[in-house]
Amino acid sequence: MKKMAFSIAKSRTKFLILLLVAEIIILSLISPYFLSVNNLMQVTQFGASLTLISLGEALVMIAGRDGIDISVGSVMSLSGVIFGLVVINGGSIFTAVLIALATGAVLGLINGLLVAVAKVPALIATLGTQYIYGSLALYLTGGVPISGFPDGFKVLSLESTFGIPNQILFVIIPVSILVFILIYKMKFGRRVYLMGTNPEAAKFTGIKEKRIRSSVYILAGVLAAISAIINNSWLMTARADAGTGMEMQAITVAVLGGIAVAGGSGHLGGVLIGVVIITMMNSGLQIANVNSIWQLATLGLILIIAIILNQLMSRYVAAVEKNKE
Amino acid sequence: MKTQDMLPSFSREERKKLAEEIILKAEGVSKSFGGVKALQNVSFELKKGEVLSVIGENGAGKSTLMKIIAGALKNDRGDIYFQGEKLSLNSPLDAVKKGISIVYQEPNIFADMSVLENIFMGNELVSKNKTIQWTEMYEEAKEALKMVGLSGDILHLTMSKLSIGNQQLVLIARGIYKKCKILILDEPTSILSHNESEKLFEIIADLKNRGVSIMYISHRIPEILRISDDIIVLRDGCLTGTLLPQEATEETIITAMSGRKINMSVYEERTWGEKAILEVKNLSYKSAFQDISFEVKPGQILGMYGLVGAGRSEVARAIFGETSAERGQILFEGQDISRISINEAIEKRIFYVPEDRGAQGLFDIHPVRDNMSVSFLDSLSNKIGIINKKKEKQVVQDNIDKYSIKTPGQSISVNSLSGGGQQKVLFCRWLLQEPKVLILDEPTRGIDVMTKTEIHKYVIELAKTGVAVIVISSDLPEIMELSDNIITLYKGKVTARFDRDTVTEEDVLKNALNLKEDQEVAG
Repeated sequence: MKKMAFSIAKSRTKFLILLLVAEIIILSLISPYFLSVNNLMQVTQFGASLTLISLGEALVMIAGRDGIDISVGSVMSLSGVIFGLVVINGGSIFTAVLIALATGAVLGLINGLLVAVAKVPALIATLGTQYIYGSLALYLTGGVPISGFPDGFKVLSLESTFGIPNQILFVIIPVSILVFILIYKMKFGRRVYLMGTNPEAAKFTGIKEKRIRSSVYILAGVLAAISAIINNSWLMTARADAGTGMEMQAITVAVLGGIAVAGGSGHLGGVLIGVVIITMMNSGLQIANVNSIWQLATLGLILIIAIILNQLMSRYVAAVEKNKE
Repeated sequence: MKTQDMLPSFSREERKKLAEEIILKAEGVSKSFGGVKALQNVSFELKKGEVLSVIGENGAGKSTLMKIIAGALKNDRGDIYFQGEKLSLNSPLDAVKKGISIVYQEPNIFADMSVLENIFMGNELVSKNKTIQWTEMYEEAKEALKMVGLSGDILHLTMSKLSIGNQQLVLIARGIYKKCKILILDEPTSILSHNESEKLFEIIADLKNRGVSIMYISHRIPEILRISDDIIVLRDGCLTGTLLPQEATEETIITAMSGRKINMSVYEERTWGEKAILEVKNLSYKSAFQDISFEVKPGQILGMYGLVGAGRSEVARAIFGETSAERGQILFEGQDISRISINEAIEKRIFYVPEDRGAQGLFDIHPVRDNMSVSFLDSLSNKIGIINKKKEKQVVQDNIDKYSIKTPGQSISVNSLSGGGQQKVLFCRWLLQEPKVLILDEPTRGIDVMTKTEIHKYVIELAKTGVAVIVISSDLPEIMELSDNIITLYKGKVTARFDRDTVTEEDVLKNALNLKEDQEVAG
């Protein structure tokens, strides 16, 4: 028992799984409907956009030098709006997807250059671009949501295959797998982690910091653009405020998932569990008929409690390990 | 005069009497960091109103000893008595309250705050209702500045507006404004000009007259002979001698500092290439180094010796492409590489193992494996960049075995290894890639003797395979042991060149300290 407690305390992932199980039990006690397959599938849809944005945000944080991307929400809005404009101006969905992804990449590149080359602190640089990208999105739509997408576009986010929502099966799962391969199987990911831990040492081993850091911001931009496309299909409209607030949720999820703000540590697996925990909570509160005003407050509460618990546990781990010596 | 109220002045006779009084006494003080014994069984006495100089090579334990007396470190064993009572300090502030102040080598200042605030930092005068008493502080600070020969007009200036020399003086004023009994000066003249140094010596003489005892650390032997009443010599953490300045000469001091150590010799006679692989010609960079020239042949080991701050690492970093020199040339295999980047240097197989293991070398929370393989990931990956983890594990394990790195496994985080183990990991990073030029910056700092000898063996082995090695070190025996050729650096200039067959430790040390400064022009 003691051994198990120690192993849970030592691993963030195990702790998060435990937290998730506790959450499921509590929510299913509140409402038996919660655990139905139907509801669970619906829940995943809410988490689709957040998953990709959070993975991007987590990577920016892992890459270090106080990395953060406040602009991801605006990148999502702007690339979604551009997608919409391409479609209603007669472009095919395929063309629109490519242009939206390119938009995400370019916006990410701008962030990357500001941070990695111009050396603007990440918080300031992406706060600035958040406003700029957000204003551009509003300007392009004139504040009016873009609708009138072809009916076939529903396939992406409003239909399912074998009972699994399409955007989960065909987008979220494959993209997440690709990201995991890039980060945990390839040189690139290894370098992101090492650079995040100690940029000075990275320099002396020949790691090309500017290139890798810019790439990470580009990746965050592209992931935000994919989220935008999924979201457009789900709502069948493109809104200039589609991504508003997503960056804060993404940071919350990343921190809850164990990504260290100082860079270099934390696992994307924890981020995925973090997304599930937060999405389930939101849906659970709805089912339990809690006024949606309380959603954000609960989110904040969970975040703070989780971090305090985690700190208590690291202290416990440190004490146990010291005793061993 | 008001200054006299703060610190009384004594006549010659009174001073003589005072000198009988022992203010500080250390008995068997020892301190270890991990497995490294920084101080072993050090005992000495400091009398009231005297200047006691502490000398020794880099790493001899001088700073550790001073930090213990100033309350910044705690000794493991031994006792220190202050005015006859056992001294037990929990913080530097504790020491200051008792009257023991230290001025560190690098001015420890709050650059954007005023001189007044700097003097009273952490020690502000407050009234009963906890408000700061600026007027009283101003008056007191003015008096303190007067003692170091500075005018009270500078009190409102920000610290950064002052020259480094004056900043140093302000810190001394900070140290003595209270009833200071012991003032520790850690290499105060290393950043001072000639005139500023003279001023400092006057202040020291004045403080002595006021009964303040001074512990003085310096590498500059002439000034030590001039101002000291007593000299103690440290070597490898042990007290190796007590000298009187009247009797000591530069020669006796240097012999006491360098000494002879029992060392397993690993050096082997080798042959090297005809043509130099790396030639550095008149290389200069800002104030860091000027007119540096040397060459290394394949298979040769060049030792670069000098004090910290002599410009050694800066030269190495220019060769490695971290900085570009402003003037001069670096030729590699006859080709100009003065403007290359780190990555280009690595491609040419010029490698650099930096001096600061923690800050510049290790990815501390990551496994031994990732730390070692980071520089040869390319050779472990396929075309699209996927790492062959099986191969990686194998290669890393081979190196762990080959270089007998003591670790429970390669997945364990590198910060749980000993300093020696960590250094070996850094060493392994580059060995697999067939280096042509390998620059080792302080390769064995803070490492136990056994591992040190092992690393020395690897360096010799490497040279035997035709690698040109540059060893930068503050450890003179290390330089003597490994080098085929030695250059000494002093304040960014090459002061001498030696050949293994004819060199003596004394010559190297003398030139690194530039003791012939007055007679000859360096270079």
